Amino acid sequence: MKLYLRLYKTLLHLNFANLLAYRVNFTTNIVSSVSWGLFSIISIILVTGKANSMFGWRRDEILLLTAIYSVLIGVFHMLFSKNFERFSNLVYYGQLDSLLVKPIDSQFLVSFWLINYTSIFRILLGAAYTFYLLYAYHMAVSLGAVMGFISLLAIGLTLLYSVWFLCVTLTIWFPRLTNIVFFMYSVSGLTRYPQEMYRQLASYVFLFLMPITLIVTTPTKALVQRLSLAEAIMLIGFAFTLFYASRKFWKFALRYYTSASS
Amino acid sequence: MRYVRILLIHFEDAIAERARNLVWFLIALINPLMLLLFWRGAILEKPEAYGQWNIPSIVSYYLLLIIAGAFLQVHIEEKIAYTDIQQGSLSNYLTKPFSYLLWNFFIELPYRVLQGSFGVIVFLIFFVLFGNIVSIASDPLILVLASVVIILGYLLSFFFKMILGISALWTTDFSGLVNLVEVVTLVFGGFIMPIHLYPVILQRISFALPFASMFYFPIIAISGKLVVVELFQVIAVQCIWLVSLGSIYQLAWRRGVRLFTAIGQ
Amino acid sequence: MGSIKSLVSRKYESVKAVDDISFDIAAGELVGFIGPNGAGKTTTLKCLSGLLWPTQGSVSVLGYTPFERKTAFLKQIALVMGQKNQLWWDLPAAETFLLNKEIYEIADDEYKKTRNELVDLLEVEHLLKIQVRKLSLGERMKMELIAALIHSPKVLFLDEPTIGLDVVMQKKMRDFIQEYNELKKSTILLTSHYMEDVRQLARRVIIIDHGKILYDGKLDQLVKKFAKHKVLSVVLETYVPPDKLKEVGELVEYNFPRAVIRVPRNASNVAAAQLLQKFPVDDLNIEEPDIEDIIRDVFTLSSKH
Repeated sequence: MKLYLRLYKTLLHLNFANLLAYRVNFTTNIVSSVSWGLFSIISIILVTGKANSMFGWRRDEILLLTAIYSVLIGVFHMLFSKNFERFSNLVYYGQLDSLLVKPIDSQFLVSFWLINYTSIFRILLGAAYTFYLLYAYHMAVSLGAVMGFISLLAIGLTLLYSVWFLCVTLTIWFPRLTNIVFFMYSVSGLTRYPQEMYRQLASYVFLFLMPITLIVTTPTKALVQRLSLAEAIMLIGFAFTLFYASRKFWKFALRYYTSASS
Repeated sequence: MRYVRILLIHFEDAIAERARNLVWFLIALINPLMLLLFWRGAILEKPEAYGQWNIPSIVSYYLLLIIAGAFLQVHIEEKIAYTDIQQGSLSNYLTKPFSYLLWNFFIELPYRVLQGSFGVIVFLIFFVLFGNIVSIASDPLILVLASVVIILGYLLSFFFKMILGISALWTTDFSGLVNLVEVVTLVFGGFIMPIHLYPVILQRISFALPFASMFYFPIIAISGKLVVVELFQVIAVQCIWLVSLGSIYQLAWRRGVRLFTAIGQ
Repeated sequence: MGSIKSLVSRKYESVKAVDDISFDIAAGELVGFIGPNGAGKTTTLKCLSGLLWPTQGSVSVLGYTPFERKTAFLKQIALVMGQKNQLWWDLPAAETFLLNKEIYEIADDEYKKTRNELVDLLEVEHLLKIQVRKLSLGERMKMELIAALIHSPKVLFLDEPTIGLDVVMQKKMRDFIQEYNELKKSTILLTSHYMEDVRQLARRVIIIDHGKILYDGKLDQLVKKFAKHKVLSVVLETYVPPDKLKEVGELVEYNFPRAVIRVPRNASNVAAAQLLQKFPVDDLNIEEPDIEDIIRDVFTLSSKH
């Protein structure tokens, strides 16, 4: 454990040095981070413009959902996105070998290698909007609620990571499916809408999507103190199950990779 | 045994390519479908808030949006900025007795038609399955005028992206600019929701910009939401934009060529 | 030490076993695997480093089973494949070394010692703080080597180390490998399809083709065992028609004034005397055939069976 923490600290340092070394990308990333952050906020404001409630949510709560989505996706982009983008190239260009020969867990090396610091602006934007909404709409917030919120957000992040990892692992069998990363970005966008909205779908589709739809909805409910224990338990359950599945599937994929390639 | 393996490799290859295309297709579908779900819920809950936009018309809107997104969204600026300008291939074009504009037009068109047809397939599937849930204009005159609006919309989109591409000669952060333009296009081109449902101020801004003429008007024209008079008004506005963008392009092109040939790349 | 024992026992080796590779390598040896492309060299290395698991047989390196990929095992090996790089492009190479230090859990003083050792050996002290993308190809290659060896591996697998390099760089790479082997006494297995690599480096040579071992032993023994010919290289004073030269032996090459004639081994002296008598010879050399030719003969010999 200590090894991995030290290693991650070194990676944080290297990624930061990398950022300073290549300043042109710096501004591009900030501009796109902020643009998309603003876009999702503008979209939700416009789209909920004419109604005061839908799917059992008040309008301000739906806006809050988008704000918290921005925070979550910002954290996800910072920690994981670049790594997933890199992964599909790793497989395609046969560079997975040099990773597997290192005495460090390969899932760790694949998932945590790169850090995108410029996403911090997206996180800040989301956080700022969250605070603004809580203040402007006089939403009551307690310490307990905040603690619950942060924990469930972290668990939601784990769930999102696991789903991504499961899908991206498929590129070991289909190295050409590098665009699966873009697909996952769209899927991640599912989380910005209230879970209840997806109940409109046929039940089998809804059940299939359910874990994802809980990711942002559940922590948000915790924050505004509307959470049901059942939903919290479901989120936690899904997160652990899918994370475990991602590890198993990865080991399985590596067994395939190391038997067929040459 | 060796031949079986070769066969399997080609099979895997074909599937891989098809799987890749399937993924692109799914990506194009997901966002509009999510918005559709949202609207269905919203309209069902409070239909009076949305005026003439009922579920069938909203469904048509988003389905047509998929096609519009695929067909009318031009992507030539990336090639111009990276391949032609940054890597210098522009020199090849300058020595040929063929208009750079026309050349790129013919490069881009096939892609747009191909992608647009994916969208049309989705539309047809919905049409066959849910018949009366999608609405398109039926009056022949309106259809003809709508086609004109669509063609003009495409030309506007094309010119705009050509200008954007050439601007790479002057901008330091082209990627950032492209991202910004994309967001602006989505907001003011009607990709979030029908512009007529925007707050009034935003509507006015949208109609003052060219993006609505590129995407929004073609969509509502073909779905029959505009009467003949309005169609002519739209066409007039599009023509004004076409002349403007055309002039800006010529200016940018002339200045750009001078810059490019003066400093190399 | 590495050994792959096949379920099919050794006695089949002389009768040309099918898809069976078996060998033992002792600590500190420098062994060269040679073979044409697709012979199975890279596959063998991957099995030894744990990247592939064999369908039959057993593999043991340093007492570990490679494909179990235990941490203790991985910390003691290094695999360098062609020019695939692990250096961070926009940072000084020193940063990548520090990263590897953490990955392999190298102690501070040991790290400093090894790093200085390698840096001196490769003479790159002045380049440590420069960004990798600003280095030349040769300098980058040296840094890649240091990054790969910073954890002082006991076993080093090199896959085609000189591929894609120019002649000067190839020589430098070979010199380094030799010095490193002598200095650190680590076991080195390298694959190559360049004869020069073999000539300079490998005391022991394993020839592989179509997944089978064709020869395993010392290089000079290989020459004696398989070379059936000797090569006479002649420089002529005045032009001699090719047909005349063909009377002495097989005319391999003729670019006046140089000619290369191949004769059976035991007839080389006689042939040399003939040349000197009959023709206006300026210079004459009796040489062993090129290793490429010998090995080519070995391959054709094996495929005839």
